[in-house]
Amino acid sequence: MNKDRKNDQFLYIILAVLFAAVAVIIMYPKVTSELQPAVQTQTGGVLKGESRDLMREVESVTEESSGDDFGQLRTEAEGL
Amino acid sequence: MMKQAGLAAGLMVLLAAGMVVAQEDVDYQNPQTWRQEVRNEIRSQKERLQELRDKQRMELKAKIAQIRDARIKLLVEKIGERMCTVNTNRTESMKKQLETFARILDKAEARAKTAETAVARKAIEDALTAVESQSARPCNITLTGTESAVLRADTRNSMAMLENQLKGVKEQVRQARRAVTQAIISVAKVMGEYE
Repeated sequence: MNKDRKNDQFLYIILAVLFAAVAVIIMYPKVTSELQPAVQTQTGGVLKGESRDLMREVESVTEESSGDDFGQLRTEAEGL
Repeated sequence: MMKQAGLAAGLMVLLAAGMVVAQEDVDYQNPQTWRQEVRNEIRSQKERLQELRDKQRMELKAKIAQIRDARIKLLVEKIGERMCTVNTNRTESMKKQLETFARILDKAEARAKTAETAVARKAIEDALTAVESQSARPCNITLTGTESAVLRADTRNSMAMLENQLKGVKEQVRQARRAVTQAIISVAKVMGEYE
């Protein structure tokens, strides 16, 4: 009886650990996403969740300046 | 007899369905269908600009051949090539930016479609058309003479024209960025992610 009870307890522990692992896998991205600071828009509103992530992606796209290129070209043209 | 009649009727239904589908290929309310039209327009515009570019190259080559000073000749060629390289590099960079914006907009639209997402889609397509046109546009120096003063003026004018053209296209890319930003905010409002 004792042995059966110990086996059952062991099984319950395993199941509990499995459920906990599944819960962590599901909840981890959502929790870490919520912990990140919100993004404030130019109109003063605040974005959260996936919208905030998308806005960050847009902001990460940087413009390149062609000013340096034309500066160099103009310098070369002085030699004409 | 009945079998043949049934087969004929079935074929007619299929034919009619095919005709209806073919007519509905382009739905101007649905960007997914008019993108092909935009692509076709870009392609034909590029071909026309490519012809102009080749023509400019031939004319420049003929004019450069008339320059007596070897150093000046080499310098004009070098500057002309550099201008085209700048044009290619800038347009490639802007094209990549627009592709990124389109990808981000796809993600936003997968969550919710709003009026702002349609506006952003159009802005990206317009900017892409401008970038593709600019990449095919004549980018070299346009020479009107071979005297030193004329060469200098022509080179400066050609550079200024290219710089202005690139600025114009850059502004369209900026507009596309602003439109995508507004689209994200509009989707955020729908999804309850905006405070």
